[in-house]
Amino acid sequence: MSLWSELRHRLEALVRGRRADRETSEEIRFHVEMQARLLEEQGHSAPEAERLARVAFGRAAEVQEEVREARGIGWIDDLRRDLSHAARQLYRSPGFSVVAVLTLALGIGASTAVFSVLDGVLLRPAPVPEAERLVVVWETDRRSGTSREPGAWPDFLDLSRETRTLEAVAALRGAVVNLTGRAEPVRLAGVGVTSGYFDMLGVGPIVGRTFRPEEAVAGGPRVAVMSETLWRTRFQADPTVVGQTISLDGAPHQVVGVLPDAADFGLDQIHARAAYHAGYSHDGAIDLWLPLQPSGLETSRDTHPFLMIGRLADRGSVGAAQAELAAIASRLEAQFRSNIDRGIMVEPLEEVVFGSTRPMLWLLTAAVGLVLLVACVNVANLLLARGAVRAREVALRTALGAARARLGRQFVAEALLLAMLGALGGVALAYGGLAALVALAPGDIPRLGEVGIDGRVLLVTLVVALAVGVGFGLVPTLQAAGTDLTGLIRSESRGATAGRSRRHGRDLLVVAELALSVMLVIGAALLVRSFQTVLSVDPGFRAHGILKAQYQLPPSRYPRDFARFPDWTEIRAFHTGVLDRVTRIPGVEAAAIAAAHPLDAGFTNSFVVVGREAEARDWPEITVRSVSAEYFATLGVVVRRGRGFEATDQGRAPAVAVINEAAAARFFKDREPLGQEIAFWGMRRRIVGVVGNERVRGLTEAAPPAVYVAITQMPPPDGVLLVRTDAPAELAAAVRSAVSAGDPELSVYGVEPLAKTLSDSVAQRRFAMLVLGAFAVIGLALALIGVYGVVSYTTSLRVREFGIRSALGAGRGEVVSLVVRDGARLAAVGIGVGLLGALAGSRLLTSLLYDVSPADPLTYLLVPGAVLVAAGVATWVPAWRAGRVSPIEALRLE
Amino acid sequence: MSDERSELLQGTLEMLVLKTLSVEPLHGWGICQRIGKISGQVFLVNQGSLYPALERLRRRDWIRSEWRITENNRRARYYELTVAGRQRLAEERAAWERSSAAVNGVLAWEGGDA
Repeated sequence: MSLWSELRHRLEALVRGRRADRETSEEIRFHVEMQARLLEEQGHSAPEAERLARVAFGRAAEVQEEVREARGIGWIDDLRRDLSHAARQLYRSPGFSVVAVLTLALGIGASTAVFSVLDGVLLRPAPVPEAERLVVVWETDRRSGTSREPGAWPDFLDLSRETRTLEAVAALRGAVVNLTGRAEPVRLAGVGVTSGYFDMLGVGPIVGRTFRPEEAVAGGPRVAVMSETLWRTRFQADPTVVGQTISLDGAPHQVVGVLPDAADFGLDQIHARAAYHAGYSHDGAIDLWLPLQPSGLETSRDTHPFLMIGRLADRGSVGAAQAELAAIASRLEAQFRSNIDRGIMVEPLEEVVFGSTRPMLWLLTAAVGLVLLVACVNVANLLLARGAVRAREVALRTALGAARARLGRQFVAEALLLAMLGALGGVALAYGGLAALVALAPGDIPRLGEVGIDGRVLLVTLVVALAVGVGFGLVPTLQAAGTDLTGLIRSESRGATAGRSRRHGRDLLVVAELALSVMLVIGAALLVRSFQTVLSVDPGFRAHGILKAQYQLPPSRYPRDFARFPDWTEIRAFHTGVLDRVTRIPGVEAAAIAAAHPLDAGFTNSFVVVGREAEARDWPEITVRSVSAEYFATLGVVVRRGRGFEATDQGRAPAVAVINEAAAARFFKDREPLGQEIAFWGMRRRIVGVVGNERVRGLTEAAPPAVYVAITQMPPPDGVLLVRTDAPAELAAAVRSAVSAGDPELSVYGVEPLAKTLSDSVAQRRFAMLVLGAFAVIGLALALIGVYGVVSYTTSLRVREFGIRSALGAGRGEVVSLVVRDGARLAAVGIGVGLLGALAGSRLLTSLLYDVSPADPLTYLLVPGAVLVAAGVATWVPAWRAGRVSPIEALRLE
Repeated sequence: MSDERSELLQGTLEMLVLKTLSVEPLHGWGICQRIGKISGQVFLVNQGSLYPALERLRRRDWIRSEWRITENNRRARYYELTVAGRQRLAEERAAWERSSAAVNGVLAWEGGDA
């Protein structure tokens, strides 16, 4: 037969399959009719003739099937038939199918969700050319021991002029700006950059242009470039926005361009990592770009507000840059008094941005890998047990002439169907799971917004499912291939003796499952213990029942004339007005204003204690906190000694200060702090009290030494309003308008219960704990199902043995203990292996644990115990059933 | 009567079908009747195997089919021999004659060297 006619027939058969079937049945009908007519002519009655004709023809359906086979529809039809056969097989054992599909769906769903996050955040290439060559240049301060400080403007100029190991260096400084003059003022995360920044990054504008060198100088023009996201969300992606004027903090700025979001490579995260700085963007992204126009005090060698980002020269290394820049720094150190003890640290940008996220993401990946492994092992186990049962079916069908290849194909079809159903369920779960992951994830994971289930992720899922399907499909085929056909058919004592090696295989799988899930559970338990410890930490202030609202007073309308400090009347008046209006709101018990909320470390400053100037040279900087008189009472910060601030501590009154216990311990070890004078910014303040420590750097970090000053004596342009009330959520609107009433141009942001701020500050820990916890629960549940399945399967094989045993006088208890002993042995081995694995693997967790050792004895004692009990229950159920079988029933079975 | 009927040898059915169709186009039922009649009811075609056989022949392009109207005004599928089918029939016939002559020779043997 020619290839062409073969092809034509196949195509025709494919295209005409259904029609051909119809034609065949019409042909058969015709045949039967003709036969009946003949019989009628021979003298049969009409109905009798028809009946006889039908009988003579045989089963029409079978004929039809044979014709179809002869038609040779080929592989598509075969596949359809195999799949529908597989579907029937799966339908026939719903218990097995449901468990297998759910198991796979869980495994595939969880891994798809986590892979999406990993892919979106870490794996996908950075949207910047050769991002691995970008570095952050930090200044270090040996005196205070800080290593990630931004730089001083003159330092930046010197470094960028002299360096050869860096191709380019740019300086930038974050700034919050209010977009005004439109419907409602919007707080934007802005950043001022030197004009070379975009070229260094290798990112060009979508519309318009970036900054010219003459714009990024003191007194330069008011121009701005907006981010793609801002452009799309607030300006409807209108290209004519370029050239328009927008109002920033009330001052007109001309928009000169729009930049792709790639221009922001985790700048907010870099701010968050910098000493004395914090992230300031509401969503971790930069909205607005401004030319950096440093002037006045900003350009002193004493202040260090500028982040420096550089690009390594071609074939340059971080090490070489570090050596070169450190050499320049030590020359500056010799040259300028202000540079004493200041060094340089060069760090890869990706390390800074992803450094803190990476261990957690890898931990998640490792955990989800374990879950996927447990799921696969479980399905393999189920298929093995089923394969053993079906070995007889295979043997029988082979004896009846079924081709081995054909049988193998059917098993693969079955496994593929399982895997595909699992993958389908998995993708559905992944969508839900991913939404949950992203919702739960702490806000400081960079690029989280880019995470989604896309073609790449689905492709990976498909490949995993195919691999799982084919892999598992081969299991029963190989199993069947190794069976002695006649022996199997003849053998009545199935499994009990014949399946020894196969039983070992299954035992191994159970051990593996238990070991993997013990590792997961221990990891999760460690995180839970750590999280409990974190939550039990006393932050030093009360967060419950406090509502927080923030605002920033722009310098345009609230001038900061340093010559007049601290008589910044506009700022002072605004804060006073806000407090006035807020305390009049019904339901407000107390209210205070501070420069930073209790979980914002704020800024630090060098200082001296009057009379101990020489000593002070070796002191670290002190955290400076400006608070209103009501602050300590409102937030429940305990005044240990002396007094807090009072209404009489006005601008003109003698300047006073309160220090915290950490400062008292560090700087006034064996001395009396009260009555001493502390000096910074050229002002002396008398210490009048000592208060308890507030953990301003977060629950897990010790409180830094801090000095509090009265808000009236150091009016901050940033205001945090803290309101004590029974119903923080309900007062939000009233509090917001109490602020706006003083200045409708201001945007009020960060309006939330302080308890939420506190809870968000441990979001990463909670996230890791919840996700790992969920994985541990899934893993353990799957493993227990595996234990249960295997024990009940092997028990069912031994029914006859148990029958004989009890016929010979063994009590029910003995039978039960026989089975339980077997199960317990497996469990013990699995748990043992899991413990070793956990000990080796828990080091991955170190950076996520607080005050709990990765080898925490309690965890390593409790978890195996609990898993052993659970495994015991999973074993005991089938054992109990085995014990109930009566000897007669058992012996009659075969 | 039944003991005088024979099972069709594997492959023989296809040859008989080709032969029957070499005279005139017929529908499936007609083929059954014709083979039965000509063989003096010795070969009774199992109807269940006729149609798959017809499909196999058709697939090899030895016969082709067509829906026509019978003399009783019924729609029926008629099969007819193709050129390739005619050639195939000749080949099968030759092979059959060779082997049946050989079988007959063996059956006629009564001892001694052949």
